[in-house]
Amino acid sequence: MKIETELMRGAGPVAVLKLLSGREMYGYELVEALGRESNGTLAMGESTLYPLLYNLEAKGMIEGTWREATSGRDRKYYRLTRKGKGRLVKDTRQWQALVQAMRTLEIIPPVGGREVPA
Amino acid sequence: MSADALPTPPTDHSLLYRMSYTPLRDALRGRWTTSLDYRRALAAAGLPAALDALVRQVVEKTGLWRREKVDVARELIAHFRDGLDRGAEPEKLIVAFGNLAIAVKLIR
Repeated sequence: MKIETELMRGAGPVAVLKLLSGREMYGYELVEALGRESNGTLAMGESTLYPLLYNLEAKGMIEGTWREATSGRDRKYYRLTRKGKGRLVKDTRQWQALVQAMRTLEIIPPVGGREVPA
Repeated sequence: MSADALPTPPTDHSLLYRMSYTPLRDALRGRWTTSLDYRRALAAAGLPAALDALVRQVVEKTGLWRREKVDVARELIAHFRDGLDRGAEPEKLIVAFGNLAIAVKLIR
């Protein structure tokens, strides 16, 4: 399902921060992981991901470092900063509150309940 | 020029070119590295013509400072090289890249 741009604007950054909370990753890895680990829901093209990474880096949420990969080529690896960890915790709480509100409104079914058919 | 022919790397070796594209710290040490010219990195990367052209378009349209252009070019080069190493076709990588205009607008 293609997610509306406005919704992705909020979900994209926190998804990236979450992925980087596990380990550092480089751009291509992030593109693949976003698609794979969200079953395609949060898949985004590089035209969206790289500006998002630059934005997060400019805000100090992540830090990029160029290193030589095993292939011998240079890659920019991104890692979560302390500020980014704090932002991830804050955003996670907000998303949990949002999901709970949507459950209360029965937009999202309660745990164990049935989803609205597509 | 055939579809597979790549643009030739910069051949300008004039003092003005070298001064314009060399970081000050290198110039002060007498090293005219011209490392601020992203076109050299792009030429060295040897990407297929279509990907080379895409990187050029993105970098040029952002209107960023030279150092920033080099950073953007390096990252896109690394990304596309990773894709090619995984066996992806250039055309597929271009489609996966997404909307050029959006990328340029967001990078600015």
